[in-house]
Amino acid sequence: MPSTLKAYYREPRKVFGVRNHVLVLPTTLCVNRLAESIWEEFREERWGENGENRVVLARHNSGCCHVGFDLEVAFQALLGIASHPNVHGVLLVSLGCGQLCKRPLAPGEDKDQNLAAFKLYDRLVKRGVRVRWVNVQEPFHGSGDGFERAVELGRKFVREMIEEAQAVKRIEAPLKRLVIGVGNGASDPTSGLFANPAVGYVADELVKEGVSVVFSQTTEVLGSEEYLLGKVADETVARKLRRLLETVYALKDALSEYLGESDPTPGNIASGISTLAEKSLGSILKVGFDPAVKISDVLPYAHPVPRGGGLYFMDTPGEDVLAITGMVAGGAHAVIFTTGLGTPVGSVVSPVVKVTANKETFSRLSGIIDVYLPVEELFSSGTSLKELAMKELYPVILEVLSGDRLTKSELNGQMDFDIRGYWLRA
Amino acid sequence: MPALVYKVNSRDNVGTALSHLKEGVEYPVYEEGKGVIGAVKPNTPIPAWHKIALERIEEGGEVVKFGYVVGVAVTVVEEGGLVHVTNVLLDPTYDFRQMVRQGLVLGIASVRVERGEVLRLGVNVRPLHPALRGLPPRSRVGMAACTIAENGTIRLGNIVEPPPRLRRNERYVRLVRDFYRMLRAGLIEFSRVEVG
Repeated sequence: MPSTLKAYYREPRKVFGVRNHVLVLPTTLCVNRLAESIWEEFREERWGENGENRVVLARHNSGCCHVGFDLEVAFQALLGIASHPNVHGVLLVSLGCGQLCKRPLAPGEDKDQNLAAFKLYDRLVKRGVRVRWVNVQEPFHGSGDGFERAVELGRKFVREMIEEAQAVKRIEAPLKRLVIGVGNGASDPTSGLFANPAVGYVADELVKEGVSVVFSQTTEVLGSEEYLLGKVADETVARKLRRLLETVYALKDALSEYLGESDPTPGNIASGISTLAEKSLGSILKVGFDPAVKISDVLPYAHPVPRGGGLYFMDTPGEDVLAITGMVAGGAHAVIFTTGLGTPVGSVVSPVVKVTANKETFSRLSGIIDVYLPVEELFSSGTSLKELAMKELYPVILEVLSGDRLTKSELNGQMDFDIRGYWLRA
Repeated sequence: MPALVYKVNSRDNVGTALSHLKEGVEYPVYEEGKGVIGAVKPNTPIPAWHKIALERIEEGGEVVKFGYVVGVAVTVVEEGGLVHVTNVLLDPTYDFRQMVRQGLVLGIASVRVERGEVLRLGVNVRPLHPALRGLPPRSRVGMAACTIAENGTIRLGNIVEPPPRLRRNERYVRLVRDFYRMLRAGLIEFSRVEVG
């Protein structure tokens, strides 16, 4: 197996990216439409050897009126996505009064006294990210409508960044500097039996190559504590994990009146799943089988995943978009996502490779699913699931990483990005 | 999918039916990475993707799938039997008190109860669930949907026809509703229970 691939090197940050996107990122939901207007001008623009790079737009519903911990979560997620290795440059679209906006200073106001107003921008500059910003409430030089001027200015910045990005070429990069996320959603019985374990074999191989693999979806690992606690690197990680799972159990218990469903749900039971342990084991096997691979750390939502190998667990909701956003904001270069019933989910800056072992789903939804694992070969020719995964899935991951193949989510312009929230908005 | 039983791990004592399996017909068992390792004859129809016992599982015996314990059998499951909520699996991750609180366990069988036998308080049922408290002695709890061993749990999964008083318990009703909905849809079969 090759342990190098072609990737983009980001000099100041010393990271490799597998895409070279220019990101338009609203810092608050109020300017989603403004950001979209800026982006619309470049929606057909493509560059890179296979046209895999483009201007991407991260619409979201966060950035204003957050209470408590939510502000920190939104900040981490925006910071993570803006400084993502796959992003060449980012245009921050601000309103001015949002909690995470770069706001204009009043005359006589001291910047040092109002650092919070610059937090996101300053942190990005400090990280060495190529960042530009437009601010709706900031008075621009010249005449005309301020909103129009912001759009014009934004487009100018994006145009500049595209020209810079087009000059950057892929170079040889070690595979071991990458982070890959694994997830599953819209599952069916084939997911637990074939697709997730197949991804597990690929994850094992990736960790062996020195790639950091991150998995998430906390609510879906409930029930496989025995497996997880047997797979942690040391007692500190075990304690973190136990505390997290206890919290989620307590939450689930408190909400059981409202959830109105047992777990496994009636739907699960109808498809043959009898216990919670069985359900979650089917989902957790995507993290791999190698007993030598241990969970190195438990990370909070959207926190950076350490590069340099190992297996990591990130606390995210079970919902697909929120989970993928968390892992991608944590720095996942690509995500491998299994599905049984089919889902179009993608991510704004990272390719999402969707895998299914359900032939019927694949033939019906091949426009949104990348890989079909021909599981009937298991029974006709006697190949093992591991061989099948290494033959059908692993090369696709490498092709996608080196930009030779675009995922269906990228082709469909599936720029999913949504940040988790714990509280009600004020 | 081919008509066979898929065994994920060599430690497993249950396999998954890849398509609907007929009662009394022999089907090959395919073990991951090894190929066909034997055959099993279902003693009841097995719906697609449901589990079938590859060996006799004793009462209290562990149910192993993916190489891990996914549940505990509360009654004996013979080789070829359907392993599902209907023939009583306890989740090892839930403690017993919690199950009682959640209404999953109604009581304990004081004697061995055969399929189709009526369950009555104080006769063959020791009550545990609050919904059963305060009911007069010899009140009908329901009918056994499968053989329940002495000291086995009486729970949603192994009884049918609970009495009206129990049906008024809100929490119980919700669990029963989902259960019966599946029963009506034919997702769970009680073909061996003689109702009446």
